[in-house]
Amino acid sequence: MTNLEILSEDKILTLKNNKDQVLDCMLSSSDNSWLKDFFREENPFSKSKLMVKDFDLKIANDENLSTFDLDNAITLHENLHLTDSQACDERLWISLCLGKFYDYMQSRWNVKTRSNLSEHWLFPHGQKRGLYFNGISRLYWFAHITYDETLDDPYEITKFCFKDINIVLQMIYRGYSNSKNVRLALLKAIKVFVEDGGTYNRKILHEILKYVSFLGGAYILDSFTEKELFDKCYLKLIDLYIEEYPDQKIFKL
Amino acid sequence: MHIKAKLYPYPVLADFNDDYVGSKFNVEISVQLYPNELVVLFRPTLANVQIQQLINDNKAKIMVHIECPLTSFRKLIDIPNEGIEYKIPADSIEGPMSFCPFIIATSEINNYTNDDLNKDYEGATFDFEKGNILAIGKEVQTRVEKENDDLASVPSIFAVTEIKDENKNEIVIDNTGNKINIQLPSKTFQEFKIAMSNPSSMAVIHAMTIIPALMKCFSDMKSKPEEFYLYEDKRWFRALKKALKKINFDLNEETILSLDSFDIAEKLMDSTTNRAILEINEIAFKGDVNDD
Repeated sequence: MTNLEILSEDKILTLKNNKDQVLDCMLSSSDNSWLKDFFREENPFSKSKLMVKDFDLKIANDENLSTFDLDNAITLHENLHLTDSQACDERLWISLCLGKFYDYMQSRWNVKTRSNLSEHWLFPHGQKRGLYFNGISRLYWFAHITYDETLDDPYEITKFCFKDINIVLQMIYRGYSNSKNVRLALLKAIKVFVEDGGTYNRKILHEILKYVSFLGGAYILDSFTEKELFDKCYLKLIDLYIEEYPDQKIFKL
Repeated sequence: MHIKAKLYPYPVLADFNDDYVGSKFNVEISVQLYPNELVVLFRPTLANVQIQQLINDNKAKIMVHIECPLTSFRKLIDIPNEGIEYKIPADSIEGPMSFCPFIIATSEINNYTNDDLNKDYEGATFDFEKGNILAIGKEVQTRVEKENDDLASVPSIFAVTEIKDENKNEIVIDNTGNKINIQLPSKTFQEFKIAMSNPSSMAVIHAMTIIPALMKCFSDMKSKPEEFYLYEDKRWFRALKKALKKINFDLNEETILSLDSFDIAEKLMDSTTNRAILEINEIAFKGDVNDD
């Protein structure tokens, strides 16, 4: 176990204020050694209070850059034992991108696509939204909010969600997604609905997410058990399916 | 979650409507942050005999919905009639938090009526399902600001950073983030770092950087008092407000208008400009203290 090294808030501010120069440095260097010259310091990182095991992320060799997203999300979640407060800190994630996981980031979110620097290395959209865009924090948070310790495989929902990350991406903008009970009930309902032969499209997904918001207007959602919410979501999904595909004669449920 | 004054298809006891006459519900909420936990005291008050009876019969509960949107902390907790002390670990919360009190139906309630209902509801009965809201109290909002940083040491509210673009030769003061960011052209920044290592030049540096930065912040706040509330989300603003309180100045949208920017900045920095003028002669005539 070693202390995780992070960049100070002022250094991160300097990087954000000088994106063009940062891009030039990154494009002309194969590793992160440019940071030494950039900050005129032998080691621009300093030791944080956070202790971590040594672990690596898998780097895809083929053209499909997202091949190992699920594996890496689980690896990060299993190895980084963060408090919720630490997991929201952009310094941690930006530091991991520019430090420990620099090679992974260069491969997954290469800055030859210039917008990747802002979108996936830094935090361009504010703290909360940024967590789902930064190349490392998005993996951790996808695993974190879909983790269910009550299941035999606690990452069962994570594995389902990585098949279509739009489900989570659209859900996180809704306030109810902060509730573990509510979001797991909804995600499990979609998963079981698909396993039972149902299919969803963009419209059905949008409608089911909207339905839970609507429920939250009439009821205090957190007062329901996960099972009660699951049943409501599952039944609504069937209604939406029948409405969307009225000619479907046989429903496999 | 935030409480909105909206309409429900059934009567709800709340301050923002007149569905009930002569009834009251609220939960007094007091919050105290300790290094490792947030301790919250909940004291409910309910003046409505029939709703109280529903609680006694376990058909309804007083509950408080707690949410910290940044860390996704969200809990719904039961509040007994006599109140409760509730502890939240400090490492699971950060930034803005809301506490919303409710009385919620915990099972079906059929043919509900209440002696204190507004006359408009005379003769009407209502059915409640589990999870429906019977009463809403006043939302309390707070902000968790920790003395101890979860990752490193406590940061300053000022950040002096380098402008790497060699074509830019002007100092920029940016107060749109959590810190007041003084951006210096590259060469100036390098000189600044050298000067910072000399304790005898501190007052001069502060007079040339911190004082104008503070004056710029005050000036920006003064120029748009209607947008004053936007600053409250910024860490530098809250720290500044706290520091000003120590010199008996309450910073708000009214007092900002009559604030003497230079005078207040100087008071905050312990007359640094005055000391700077005295020190500059020391530096000019006696040389750098580090020069042997």
